[in-house]
Amino acid sequence: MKDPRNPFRLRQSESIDNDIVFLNLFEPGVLELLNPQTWCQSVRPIRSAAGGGKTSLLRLFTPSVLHTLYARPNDERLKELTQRLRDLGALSDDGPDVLGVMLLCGRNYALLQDLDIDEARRNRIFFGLLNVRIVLAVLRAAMSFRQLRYPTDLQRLSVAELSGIAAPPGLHLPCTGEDLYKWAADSEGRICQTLDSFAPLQDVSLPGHDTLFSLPLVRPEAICIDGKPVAARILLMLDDIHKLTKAQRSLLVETIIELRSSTAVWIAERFEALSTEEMLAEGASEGREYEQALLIEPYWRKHYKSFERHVVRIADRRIQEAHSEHPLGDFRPFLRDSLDGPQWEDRFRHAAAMVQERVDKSAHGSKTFQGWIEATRGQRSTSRDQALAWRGLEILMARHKNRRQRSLFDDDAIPTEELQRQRDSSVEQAAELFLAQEFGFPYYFGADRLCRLGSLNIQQFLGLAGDVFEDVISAPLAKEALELSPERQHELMKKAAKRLWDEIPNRVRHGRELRRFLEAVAQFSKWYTYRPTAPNDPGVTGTAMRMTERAQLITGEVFKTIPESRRLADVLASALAHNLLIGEPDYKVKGDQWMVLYLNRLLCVHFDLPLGYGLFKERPLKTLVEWLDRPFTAPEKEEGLL
Amino acid sequence: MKDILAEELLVRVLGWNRVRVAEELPAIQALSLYKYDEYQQFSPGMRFIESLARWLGQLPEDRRDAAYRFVRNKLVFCSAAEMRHWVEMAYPDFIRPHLLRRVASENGYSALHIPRIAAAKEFHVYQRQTLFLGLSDGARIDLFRRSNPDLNHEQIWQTHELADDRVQELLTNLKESLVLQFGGEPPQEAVRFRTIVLLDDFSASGHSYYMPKPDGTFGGKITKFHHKLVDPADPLHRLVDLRDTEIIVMLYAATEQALEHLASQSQALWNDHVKACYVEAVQLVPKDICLLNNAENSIRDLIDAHYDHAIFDKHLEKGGTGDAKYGYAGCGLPLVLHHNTPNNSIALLWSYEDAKVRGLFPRIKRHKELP
Repeated sequence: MKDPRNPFRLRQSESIDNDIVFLNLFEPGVLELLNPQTWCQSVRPIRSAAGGGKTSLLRLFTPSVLHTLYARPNDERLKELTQRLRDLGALSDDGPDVLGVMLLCGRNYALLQDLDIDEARRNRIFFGLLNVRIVLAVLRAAMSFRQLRYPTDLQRLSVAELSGIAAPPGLHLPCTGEDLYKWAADSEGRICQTLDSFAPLQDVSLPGHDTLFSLPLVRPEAICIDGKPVAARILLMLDDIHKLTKAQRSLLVETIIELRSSTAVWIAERFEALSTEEMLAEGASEGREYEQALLIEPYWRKHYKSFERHVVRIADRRIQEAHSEHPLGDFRPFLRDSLDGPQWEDRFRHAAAMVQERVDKSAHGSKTFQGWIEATRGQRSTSRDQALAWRGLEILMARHKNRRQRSLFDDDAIPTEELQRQRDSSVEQAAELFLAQEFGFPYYFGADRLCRLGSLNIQQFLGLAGDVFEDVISAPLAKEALELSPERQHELMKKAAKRLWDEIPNRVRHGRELRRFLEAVAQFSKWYTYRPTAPNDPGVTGTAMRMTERAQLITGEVFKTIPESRRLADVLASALAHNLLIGEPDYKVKGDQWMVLYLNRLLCVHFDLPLGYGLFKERPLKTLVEWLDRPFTAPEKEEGLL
Repeated sequence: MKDILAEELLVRVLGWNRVRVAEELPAIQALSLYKYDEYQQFSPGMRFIESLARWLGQLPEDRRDAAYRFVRNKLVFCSAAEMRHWVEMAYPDFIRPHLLRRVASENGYSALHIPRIAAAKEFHVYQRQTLFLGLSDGARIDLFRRSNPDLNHEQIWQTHELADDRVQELLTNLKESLVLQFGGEPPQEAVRFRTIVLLDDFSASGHSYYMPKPDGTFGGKITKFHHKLVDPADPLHRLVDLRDTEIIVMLYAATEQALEHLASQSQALWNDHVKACYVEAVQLVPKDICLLNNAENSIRDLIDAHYDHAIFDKHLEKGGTGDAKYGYAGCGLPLVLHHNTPNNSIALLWSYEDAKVRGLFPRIKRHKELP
């Protein structure tokens, strides 16, 4: 395969057809998602938005990938991954220790729902197809695991009897792998022939099975090669479950749980498969019949610094795979991350002078702020620092004037120590944001902010990094330096943000309604952020509702009193499923518990908002419902900067 | 030339900065990889990006961007894969429905009962009584044969110019097949082809099939074929019973202009002699891509200003225009076929390698001048 020019464009694991390239691109850090004790036990749903990294995670445990990794003990790039897999028990000195069987479930199962037969028979065909495909996938994976030829060496494989469940007609257990293969291939052929036939389906002759007998059949002790169990552990990984119909998905999950098989099962699906109630309840689910689901973006929300560390390393790995005339090195140095330098001096000097003039005018000669103003004027530093200092001072003066309780000595000069105390890093960040808005400085630049803009989703990050990298590799052709200027980075992020915004109506369920709602949240956040006092500095990037209100949405209790809240529930579920809102349940503040709804960080770019987590402004449920139809309008009394 | 050098050359010729490079180059690379590099008349070692850079390089700097935008936004390139697809579609999607309709009407079947008609003996006989002839080597008869296992190899022939013994052989083979289908000697009148399908890859003007002559009459391949077929003294005449014969002109791709010309000329020529004549095209090239009336001024200026009249030979003259700026017969196409650019496209696209203005997809001269 020719090395890709821009490897960031290889978004999906499926499009990487080479195991070595896949391994080189896989960032071992993401394995922190897995609990070392329980990752290969019982049934575990794995959920994320599209592009969260589910399929890559599943593919890592397939035999061919594990063998490729095992065969390269001295490859420096793979050492950390090897060690992490050893720590998980998936690899040992003797080779792979887990037989991972991956099965894509998106292949035409949903079409079965349209068959003109009763539900029980539809389910029989569904189970029939799934059983034979699981069996065939296990046989293929077992051969690959032992590095034997498929299907020629299947006679060396034996399958034990089923216990507690009847084998389907035509399958005589115990049997050899060859017999099982023939049975499965014949059964699959028969079912497909029936489905493909133009003739009307005759209920009596429809093939199929009553349950997922394949799960107990493929238990580790039952599958042997040359008389020895093929692997100590088998991990069945069912991918793309969201492509099944709602009824098929429920039936499958319920059946897998009921069977309590000793084979570990991963059920990988997008959040969009969940119902509104399930989606809103995610993140606080306890006491389920299966192991707690692995929710990828919500996990990274709690560990967002880890995510951002990992994606930088993902970027480094991608660059190493790039086809380039010259070695390119690491990702971070390509992104200039400061506005220092002579080309910015004049612009910041101008900005500082403008703000200083405003500050002087606002103080109109009173001695209250005289000390603060003198201290700021006396500051010796770069013009950027001066601009920030003046803008920070303007914010602090606004806060002082805006105090609810005024003292008797309001006209007295405020000591300069008070200025030092109040001017913290948050004020400085707010000042930076405000200056960027007022004077057109770039704001969304630097590797740290780019990683943040990935918004906890690997595909989103790869898209942004791919835009940046395209520019980097274009530079030598235009005889320009590789490093990207802050303006260019800012411009690229703005374009990407607009793309995301424009796609929402077409890409997402309830898209138009959702975009109206998101716009209201964003406009509200923007209004709140850019108030002269910069409350919650550097700014808010989302809203929140009480956990009690969330519970009412889940149970539907509130639908009677506020009928429109049903729409809100659907819209919120859709936004959370597609990572357009990032939920954080059980957030404790102000003596209450909240469900925080952060905007996707890239949407923050579209609305000129800051990128930090942790700052939001809660709204009552009634207001959120109103935002579905009416855009947010700033209160007239409040003075907004913009 | 190495890819990277060609890309550097292109960037220099167009004076792009890194922003333009990042915006444009991925698309150009994708187009090259996906289609344009497969152009079969590039000289050895040449690929699309190098050809593009050289082509743009011969234009004045202030016109290069307009020329580049024309290539990005207006050029139509028919790849080998697309052509293969059209060949594969020609019989099942265009010819077979004609046969099914005729069998239905002649035998009292409902035209909507397709499986019933297709299963009928009458259809199998009639399908065998259909003769497929190539109008040029562009007809891709080998691929057509392989794509249609329902058809007998002995009813498909690469050329419409059939020698006496070939005519006899076609009829003998037809009879052998019919003996099997009838389960015995077929009636004498059945041993005739009832439909003749004339296959070709592309037509922009239709003139090579029905060529207008100065005296008002017509020449061209189909005209000649018609004259032979209707001439009782010609061996070809023995293939058919004219009153019962249908003629189908089947093109894998054709312009609307060509189809209009073919339809009117076919009607005038064939209607008095045969049962019916149809003209079909798998891929229709719409009129609105023609640059003669639809091009922006910047493109018109380019076409007018960058032209070497040395390419205008007696064959192009037959198209009735005074120059070849807009191609043969002023068709004005922005179209390239993967194996050769048609001369109906604008000269700026196909002008020969040795001309003063070199085409982006230089054309191979079909009619070599003697030194």
